[in-house]
Amino acid sequence: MSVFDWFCGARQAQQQLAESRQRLYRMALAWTGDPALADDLAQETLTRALQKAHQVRDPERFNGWLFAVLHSCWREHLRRRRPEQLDEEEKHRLPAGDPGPAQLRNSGQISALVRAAVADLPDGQRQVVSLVDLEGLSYAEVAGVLSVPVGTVMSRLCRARRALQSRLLNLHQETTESARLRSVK
Amino acid sequence: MKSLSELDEISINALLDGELDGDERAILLERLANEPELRGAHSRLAITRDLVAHAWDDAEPPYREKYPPQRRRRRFAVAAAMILLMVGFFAGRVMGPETVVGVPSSAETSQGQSDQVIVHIMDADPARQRAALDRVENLLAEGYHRVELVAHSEALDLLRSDRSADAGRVRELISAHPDLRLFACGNTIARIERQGERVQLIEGIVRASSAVDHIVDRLQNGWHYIKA
Repeated sequence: MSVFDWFCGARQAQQQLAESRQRLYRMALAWTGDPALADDLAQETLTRALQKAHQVRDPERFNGWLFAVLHSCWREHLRRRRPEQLDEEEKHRLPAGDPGPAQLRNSGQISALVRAAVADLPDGQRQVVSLVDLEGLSYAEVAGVLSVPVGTVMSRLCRARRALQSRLLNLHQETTESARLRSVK
Repeated sequence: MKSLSELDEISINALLDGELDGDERAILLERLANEPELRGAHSRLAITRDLVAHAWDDAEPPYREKYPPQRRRRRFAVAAAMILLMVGFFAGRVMGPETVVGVPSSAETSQGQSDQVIVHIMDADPARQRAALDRVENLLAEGYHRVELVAHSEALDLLRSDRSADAGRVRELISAHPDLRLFACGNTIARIERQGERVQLIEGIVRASSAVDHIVDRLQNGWHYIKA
């Protein structure tokens, strides 16, 4: 790799970083369920990433690298927090429980339902399913971000989607039934 | 519902996520064509994946002063458009029949299911808009009796007499197919007109009060949904 390529790669990484705040925020929100914490994590990730952007020499690896930094910030947060903080953070999590089928025409309710279902997944599954579905990272990239084997990514994803499917699709059936009943009345 | 082996589930996930190579993909697609249980599982997993993929579309980080108001408005508009897309897509997945390619097959029609299709376009790209018109034409050629196209957001241009790159083709479609209905989203028109721009639709285009409401109504009446 020439010096020119290296310089261009680092510059491109800086530019990509500037555009990454929302994506980081969404991912952090999916992982934590807490908007304020998600914003803090996104900011911390950006700060660290800006300092280290020169390390990214291959722009194609930028996404994986960026989310690995976010993952690192999140792990550090989990290690730092005190037991009493756990209860406090739970209060900020997205509401548990599903909205009724009648509300599902409202897109906000659909989002809330899906987010609540994702929030109830175990940490590892939640991270894998959000990295794959929200960001479209490949299994190999997710394995790199989380430092786990690709096989683990595949099995966690499988279990996560199975759990989500059983929770979300039951509600879909109720929704369809509810719509049918309304049209009969 | 028969339960699937974990290996099959992993394979279907890999197919959905573009992780299978050519041979693996071909084998699985052939199995999907021949095994209804597998096809059902594919549809359910696809719905699940799509719901998760769009569940955070409207999540905006808290406002920070570095974003000027105009940019914030644009960001809000983009988020709103994404929510709209999600509703349409969700409703289509939930209430429409599922096929591997997302298009109702002639086999489904022959089994007595709905032969009414609504095609939804919201993309500004003229190539995608032309692809939507191609899709409409193909459906009509395949014998679907009721076909509707709904355009909103940036795709509204397709149906505007003053801006459409394909106005001639749209007119020809309308005159050649009396049962075809093309709808422009009333909310999008109102938003544009609030900004001081007058919207002129091609003759024969129907103004729907809202694209999403129209799509949801159709789906509740058993129409197929296709996002172009």
